[in-house]
Amino acid sequence: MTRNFCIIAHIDHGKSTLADRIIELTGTVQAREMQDQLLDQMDLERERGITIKLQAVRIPYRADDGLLYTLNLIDTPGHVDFTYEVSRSLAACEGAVLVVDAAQGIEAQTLANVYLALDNNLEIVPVINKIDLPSAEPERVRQEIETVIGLDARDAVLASGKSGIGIRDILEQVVRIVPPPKGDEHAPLKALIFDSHYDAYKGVIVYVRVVDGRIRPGTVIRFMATDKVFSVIEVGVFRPKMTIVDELGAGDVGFVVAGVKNVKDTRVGDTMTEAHRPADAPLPGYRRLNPMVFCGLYPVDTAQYTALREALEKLELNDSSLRYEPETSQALGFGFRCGFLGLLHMEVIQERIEREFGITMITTAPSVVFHVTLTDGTVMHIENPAFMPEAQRIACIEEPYVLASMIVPQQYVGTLMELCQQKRGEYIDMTFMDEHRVVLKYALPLTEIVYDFFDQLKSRSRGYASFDYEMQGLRKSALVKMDILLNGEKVDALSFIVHRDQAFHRGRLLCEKLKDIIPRHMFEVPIQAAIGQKIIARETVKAMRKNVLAKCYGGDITRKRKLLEKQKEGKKRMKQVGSVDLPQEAFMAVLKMDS
Amino acid sequence: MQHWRHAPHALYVHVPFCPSKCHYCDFFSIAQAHPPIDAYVDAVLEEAVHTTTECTPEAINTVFVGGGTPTVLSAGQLSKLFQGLARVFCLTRAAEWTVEANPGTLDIDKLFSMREAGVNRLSIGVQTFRDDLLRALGRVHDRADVVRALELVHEVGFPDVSIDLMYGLPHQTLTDVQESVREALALGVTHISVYGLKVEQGTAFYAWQQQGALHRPEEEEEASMFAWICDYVAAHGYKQYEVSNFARAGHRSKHNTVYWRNESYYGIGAGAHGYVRGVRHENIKNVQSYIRAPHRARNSCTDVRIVEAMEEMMMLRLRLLDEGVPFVAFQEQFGVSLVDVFGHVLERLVQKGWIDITAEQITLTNAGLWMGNEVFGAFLGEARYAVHT
Repeated sequence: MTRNFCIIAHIDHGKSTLADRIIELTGTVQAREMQDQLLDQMDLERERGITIKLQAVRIPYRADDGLLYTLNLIDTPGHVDFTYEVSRSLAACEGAVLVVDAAQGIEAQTLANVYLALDNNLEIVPVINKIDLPSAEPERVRQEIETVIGLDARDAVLASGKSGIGIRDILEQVVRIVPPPKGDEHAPLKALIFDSHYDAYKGVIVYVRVVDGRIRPGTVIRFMATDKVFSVIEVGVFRPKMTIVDELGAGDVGFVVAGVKNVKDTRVGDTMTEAHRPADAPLPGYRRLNPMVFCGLYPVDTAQYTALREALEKLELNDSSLRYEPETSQALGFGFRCGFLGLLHMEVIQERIEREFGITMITTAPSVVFHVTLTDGTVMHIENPAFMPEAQRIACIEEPYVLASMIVPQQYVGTLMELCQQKRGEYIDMTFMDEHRVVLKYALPLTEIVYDFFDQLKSRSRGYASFDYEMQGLRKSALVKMDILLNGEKVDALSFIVHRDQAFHRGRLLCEKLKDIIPRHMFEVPIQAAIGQKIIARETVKAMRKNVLAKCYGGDITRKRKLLEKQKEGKKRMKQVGSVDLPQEAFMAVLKMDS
Repeated sequence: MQHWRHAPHALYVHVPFCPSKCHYCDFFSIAQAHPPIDAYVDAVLEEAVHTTTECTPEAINTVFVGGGTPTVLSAGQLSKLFQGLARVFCLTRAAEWTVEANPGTLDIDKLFSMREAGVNRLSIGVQTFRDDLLRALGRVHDRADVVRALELVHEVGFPDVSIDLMYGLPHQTLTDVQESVREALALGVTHISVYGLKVEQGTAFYAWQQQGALHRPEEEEEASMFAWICDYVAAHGYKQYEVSNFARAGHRSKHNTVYWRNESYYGIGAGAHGYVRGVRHENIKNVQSYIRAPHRARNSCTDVRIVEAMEEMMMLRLRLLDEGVPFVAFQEQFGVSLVDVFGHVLERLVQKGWIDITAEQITLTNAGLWMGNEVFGAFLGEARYAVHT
């Protein structure tokens, strides 16, 4: 009597609140333990109101038919960057609850996630959420689900996570529509590893969805891809706290502890089987995603290099999409070049390193991977603009493009098309979703998305446009490398790749921006932008004239002291490059130039 | 016992009432139609009694009544406050007794009451002599008020009169600053303080700055104002004895010198700060609660650790331009040599040309004065001293 399902939604459509209500209704968690966004355990997730890591919870549910069901709810991140995590949870389910905001209707991420679910042959339970909002239009949204996605939405549940409306109806639909898992208890063990995390005491804790067979303590298991053998110590389920049970059977979702010390032994997507009675073939598993956005992470204090490496190692345990390798910059010293699935993923990792490991870092502006063909025919993959070869050695440069889908109210179509043109976009398609909203498709260079595209999209559409993208492949482009010189010295960490037509404009803007960001020094600091040997822009940060508290603080000495301490602290957060102190914003200035 | 563990010889009293809140000011004060002044005066005197029972004063050498605007009190209220304080702290006529005054709130009766009670120094908040700039600061007085007030002050006869001016104000030019300084000196004051505007969080200026609506002079312009002030005021017989303070011979502010020497002082009143027997305290910033329980005014008390006291001595004493940090003062207070504790910092600062070292003391050079924060900050967290227990 098991149902495995997940919830998919566009960001802010109320997925986490609905999950909270479901858990509350079924009494899975004691009231005193209840807190908002229960499945989002990271502080960062709660603060930003997003889901980053997937979580699983087992819910007992007595349905209207009088039977007791075991529902396994697997939470999914909504953002495009975490598509990898989404596909992992989808593969462990037979059904998905599709949540659509009753006021906003279908958005770009709704579509992306629903198509992923359909590709995985999941049954969809449509839910129209936030129906108690004054601006709710459930009928219009029901129409939209039918016409845009092509689902039968006659039985769509009208719900409100906030007021707890329709929660039972959702669970009834899950029981009715989502098929029970089809596994065979007696067949050889076949379990899909969909996640893992490292526990200091127990070693790697492996999250599995059992397809066939059963696992209990003492079972000798083998990971089919890595061919490692372990003996199971304990198995359990998520309620949502990890709770030990006697066994996991076919269709169950839970965890396995088997004294695994190395996370690399348990590859996510691999199949777990019995060592003595192996399955004939592994489960299909996942397509591993390649990082799309790269940046350099450097400790401000060089003594923290080892701490940074350890932080990355620890994060990698729970985030197999994170990639990093050591890198050296003339300006910043020793650090790492890290690859991320997207910008949000990058920001999340940066914040986690600063918060959870207390390391102050300089992050260089993100860059994509350029494929450079040299005149001698060799092809290089350039993840760091500083390593771009000299122009005369280059035959051609290719850059990654994405297919971007934007859902936007009709009145903003013009301004968004203009934005896409500015960002070197190529118009692909425009269709009307209904009489008000348009789906606009453009091919865009990923590097432009990495710049301020998303911010611009939001501000130009007053927040109404939603956006999603998928990778499309490489295209040849007329790109050049721009170097920045401070006090006459090239700062490799500030180099960036730009289209030739935009080079002068961006170079000039960046110099202006840096002039405002770089604090005054005891001497004058010239800022120059150069393409090859040619200087194309220059600004100057004037020398500091005066820095002395000339205010009367009376007897408030503590205030005075704090002010001086703050000034000193601010300096410590800066990275000394040659003789110039650079704050973190300097490295990100290149991203914020058009705003 | 080292002398900083002794009872303070200085007293600060805070009067947190103002006719209106100035746009740049973040000191604790309230501007309301009918402030509970009588109750407040009673509360201050009650706290004074409580304080002196906790830590019995020796001779009090300086008193400073600041705000806020102490001169919003009526002549009668001023009398009551000052006579009460004199009684509780056994003040003598020999003490320097300063009151902060706003030119718009002074009248002849108030001046007589203060003078009679023993006040012998007035610090008058003028800020600038340009009426449009005064309005932009949110001040309630104008230039004519200042001139009239100074006439009255001279009539009553205060031995020490100081004027506060500001530079680096929005829309202020070097010429404005020059005119204001000239005019202040022409009024025959014995002391002048010229403070640079600092935009503090929680003020109207801060909000405008965030919106990009505050048009302050460029750093170069502000620097030329400060340079001109230092030269001009010094050339007219006022010695620059602290970063922002200038005095005729024998007229330095003894009370503020207590702060700059990092010596102790009583702090009384809502929002006041005190430093008594190695403990810094801040009083609650709420007039109503203060009035209800003046004996429980301490909002926070912090023990100053010995290394902090060392750092603070450097950061404060160096502000005194000719006196600086005397080696003996450091040795006397801490029982160790300044060179042992901060030698490595001194070396760096001498190399930069920011400090001078003589056999007796350490002082800021002129270059060091301009980069004062770099110098003061250099000592923070740098004391090499092992605490013996």
